[in-house]
Amino acid sequence: MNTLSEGSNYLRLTDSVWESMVDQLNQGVLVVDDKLRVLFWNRFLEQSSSMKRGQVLGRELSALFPEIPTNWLKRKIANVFCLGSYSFASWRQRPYVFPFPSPRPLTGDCQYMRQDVTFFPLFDAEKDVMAVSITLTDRTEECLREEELQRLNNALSRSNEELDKFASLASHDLKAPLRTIDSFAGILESEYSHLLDPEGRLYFQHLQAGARRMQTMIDGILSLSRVQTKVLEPTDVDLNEVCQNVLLDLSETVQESGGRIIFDDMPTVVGELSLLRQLLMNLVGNGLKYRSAERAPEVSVRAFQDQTSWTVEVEDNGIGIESRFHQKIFGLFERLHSVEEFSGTGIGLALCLKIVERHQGQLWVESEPGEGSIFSFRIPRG
Amino acid sequence: MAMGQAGSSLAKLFGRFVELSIPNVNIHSREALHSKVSQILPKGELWVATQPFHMHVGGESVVLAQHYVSSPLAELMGFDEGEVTDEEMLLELANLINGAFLGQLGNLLGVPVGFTPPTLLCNASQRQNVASQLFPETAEWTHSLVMEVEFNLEGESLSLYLWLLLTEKCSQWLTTVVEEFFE
Repeated sequence: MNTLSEGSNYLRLTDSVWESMVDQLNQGVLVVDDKLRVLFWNRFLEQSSSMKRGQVLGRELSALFPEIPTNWLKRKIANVFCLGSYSFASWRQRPYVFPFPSPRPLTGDCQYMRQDVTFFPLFDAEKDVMAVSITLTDRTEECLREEELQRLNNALSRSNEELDKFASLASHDLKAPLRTIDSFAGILESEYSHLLDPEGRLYFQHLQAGARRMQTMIDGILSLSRVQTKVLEPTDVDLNEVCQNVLLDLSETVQESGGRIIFDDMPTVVGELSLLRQLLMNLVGNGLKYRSAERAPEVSVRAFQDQTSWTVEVEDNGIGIESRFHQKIFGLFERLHSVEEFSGTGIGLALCLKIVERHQGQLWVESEPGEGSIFSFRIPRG
Repeated sequence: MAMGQAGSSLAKLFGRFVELSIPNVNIHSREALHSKVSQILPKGELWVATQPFHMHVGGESVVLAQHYVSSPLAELMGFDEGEVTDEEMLLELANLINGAFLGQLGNLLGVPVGFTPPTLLCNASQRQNVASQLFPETAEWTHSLVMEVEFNLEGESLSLYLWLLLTEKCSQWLTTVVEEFFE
């Protein structure tokens, strides 16, 4: 009889009520002894296996299910007896321990029920393991969702690969006719420009400028494509050295603009040298390029660490960026200014973002118009 | 004590003597744990498995094993060739070690221990960002009590590391229970 003791909230259940509860679980529950003989079999298992309790009690589990590798099952049970602790079998490594049919035989395209199986010890009064309980949880839905997600991920990866390949091929193929236009334009200029009137010569200059601009854009697309497809070989990268190289490469621009670049003591990070160099080159180069007409450009580079990552900041005193453009500027071919104001193709920051993403990092900007900008990237410490 | 008993149970299971290092118990910051992982990982191609457990309050264990331990251990444990995959064997191993040690600790302290299935954090070829996955920046804790033990099997060049990471709450509780145990 089920009893609720006076003054207690604990309901003492009879064996038959416990059994009824276990029968109503949406999980398979069985108990075996050290010889793998079945001592308990709940209703979920009756329904999944089409074997009634009376048919299985006292019979050896491996004889009931020859599909389960006998030795594997014996080892699992023996381990639980030996250590008195749990053991598991996940559907990720072993999808079907028990050969039960799919719970979705019509709409799910799988033949068998995917399962997580847990083996745990049942102790007697002396705290010795007397039997092993095996619970089985249906994971078919989870598995189908994961397979669908995997299928979509694979399709997305394929699509990205094809897009990269297309970008690379298209850029290569576009370069050849463009070179032809550029070289013949050069010949025309040197041999026939005297035949053109001033307006004709202006048109001609527009033609050449357009060809060169397209050349720069194609180079940019190629760089972006290379960043996306490059097999990364991360090494320790001393950012002090990288910054020295950037300084050297930009020395002419610094001299022309009367500006300066200041580097703090920089850390050694884990990453791809060529990409990190390109990243800092672009960010520092932008700091010099988008300078205010009112002051000489000044770009400061510094780094700090937290428990898991390095953050590098590139701060300039340039024209700044309105907050509504803070996301937009990282898009491909996004430009906030005309070519006449500031040269460029709108690829540089997209390239920076891709480089940082390939290092599992984040890139962002803090800026206000007229107040300069701070471009920051954070990458894991390795 | 629990560690010794765990070693004895594992020896029975593997049929070999199990050598255990003296357990190293320390409180580590997340940062220190990061650098610990970074120091250990380059030493060899390691598999890393984690398993949550519940002993009054929760904790997590991390088992680090050399990639080549799977096959000899499967043989020692009596699995037939090809019967278990490397991944399955490593998870089984993590579970056995945790079960042996925490089970014994639970027995000694008279506290039931519950386990969640172990998961493989990375195999030997996926070692990038292991530290960040193990100790994410977003986690609420800053320090953890870490029990570190190295297992070696007699006659086999197999080394396994077990770290038990306990939250502050769990550490406090454990301190109280251990004090009561020795009273």
